[in-house]
Amino acid sequence: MASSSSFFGVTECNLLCVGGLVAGLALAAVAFKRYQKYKDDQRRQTYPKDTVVLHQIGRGKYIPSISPFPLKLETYLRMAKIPYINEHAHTMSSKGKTPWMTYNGEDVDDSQMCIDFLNKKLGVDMNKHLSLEQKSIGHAFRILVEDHLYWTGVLQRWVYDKGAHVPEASGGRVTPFQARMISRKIGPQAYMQGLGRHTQEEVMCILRKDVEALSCFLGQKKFLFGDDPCEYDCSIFGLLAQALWSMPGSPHEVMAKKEFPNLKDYVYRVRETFWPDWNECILEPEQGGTRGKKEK
Amino acid sequence: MASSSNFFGLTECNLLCVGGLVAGLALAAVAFKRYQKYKDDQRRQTYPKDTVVLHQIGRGKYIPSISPFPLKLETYLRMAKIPYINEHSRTFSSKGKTPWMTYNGEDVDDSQMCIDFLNKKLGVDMNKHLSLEQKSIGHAFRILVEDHLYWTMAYVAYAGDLTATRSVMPYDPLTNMFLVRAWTKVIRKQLWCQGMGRHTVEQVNHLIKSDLMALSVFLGRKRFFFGSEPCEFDCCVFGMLALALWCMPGSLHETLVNKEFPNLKDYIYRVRETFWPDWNECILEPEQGGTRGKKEK
Repeated sequence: MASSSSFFGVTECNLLCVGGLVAGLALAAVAFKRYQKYKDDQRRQTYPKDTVVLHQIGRGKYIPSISPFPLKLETYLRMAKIPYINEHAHTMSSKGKTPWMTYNGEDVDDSQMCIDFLNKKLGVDMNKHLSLEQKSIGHAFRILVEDHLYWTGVLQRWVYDKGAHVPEASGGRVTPFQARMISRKIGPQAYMQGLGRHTQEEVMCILRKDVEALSCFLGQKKFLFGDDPCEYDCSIFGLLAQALWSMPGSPHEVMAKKEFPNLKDYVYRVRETFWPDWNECILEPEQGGTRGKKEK
Repeated sequence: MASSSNFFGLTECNLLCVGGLVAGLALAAVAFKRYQKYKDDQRRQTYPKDTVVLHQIGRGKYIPSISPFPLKLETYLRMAKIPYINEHSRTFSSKGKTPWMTYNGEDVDDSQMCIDFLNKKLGVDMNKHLSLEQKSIGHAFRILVEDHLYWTMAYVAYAGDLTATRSVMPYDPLTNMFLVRAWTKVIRKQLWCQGMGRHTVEQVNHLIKSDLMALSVFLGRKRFFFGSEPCEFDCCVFGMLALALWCMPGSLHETLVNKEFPNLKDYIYRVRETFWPDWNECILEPEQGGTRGKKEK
């Protein structure tokens, strides 16, 4: 007599075990998600009211952030004089990106969406002195910087350089192993985006055209649109500052420092205007930083 | 006695078979690549001299191309009066993109690289009447259109409901079905990697409106992007906006260009009248599923 009935050789007992395992995993997943939500709610309750909590990766060795978008957003907060605190962690937003922010219990991701959110919420408009045409041009240059020039930087840092300078630039917060792992993921992403399909020589040519366009438009002006800074300056500064301080030996650095000196002057000008405490916003020597040291 | 010696259970005979198979496959791959090169060389020899051979993916039902970049490049060739012929097929460039071109035996891919190549080779400069500042602004707007607005259009066409996309595909039903499925898979991955695919529909709609508003405001009441004379940047803006108008039925892009930014609509028609007087001959005939000869809606 058979000990128990079977279905294609699998006994009832086996089926119950498998079913129980699947149900257990599903319950565990639900419990985990609820726990995450509970932790998020607890986290939000600790934040001060009417203060932006800016979530970003940690400070850099030479620069407050080795990523352009946190630097852009933080520059905007300073420009608009919006109270904020930083929460430095490697926790990415729900979209898998950095930076993101929390304001009065509400999480917002993507640097530009954060800016639009705060502009609407707080009635801020750093572009109010610009004409409609200037705003349209500013929008185009912001896209040039964030959706095109940015990718040439990604390729340089993570594909051509294979992340070699990132551990040092991050003050050791990103280990060489992590840098290599990130570098492996970025190559295919850049290919999907499109710029990664070109040869390195072609990308350098593309880079030059973008930087030339920026330099030409800026000309001898103090800021992008004249004597008063505007919201678009935050985005351009965030990216060009990377070229100057966190991409040593790159064509980006060479172009910004030597071939297009008005861009270098512009970056220093924005820094002096909105980051008088720049030195306190980079890592101390004990943490692998250059705080207090003379700039090269 | 064992019939033959073995290595981890595999006999010498097995190992020889496997080795032979691998070597055979490697040889087949090399032979295939050489055959492809031979066919490419043969192909290039048939092309007329000093004539651009523009490789693109076939005419559309309502528009000469369902992709903005072939339309951009072909508009440029017409604007610069460079002799060209079309070779319609679904063969993509060495970079996996369309369009690409062959000129006197040399293949070039990427629409902008094709333009830069021809500008240099033939001494063409459709931007010579522009100031340096205008060229820098034009460059920024070209990037806005090709590296941002384009992705919002890819999002709308491929990230959600595919009904509208299927309706404008110009091939036979089986090919349409296969291509839409294949392209959707690839483009959704591209959208995620590029970043646009991480946003919600509402967020993307906001980006669409911002981009089109910027274009509309900058164009203003001008005939072309920088005044009364067209320039190279008009090819790119036209290529993208024409798609919004004729290839994305029911989309926010179409609504905004048609109704909210009428100067963009007028501009598209103006570029079409100037450089595509034979537009009707460049779309598919009714027998092929096209609208040639039919009154435009």
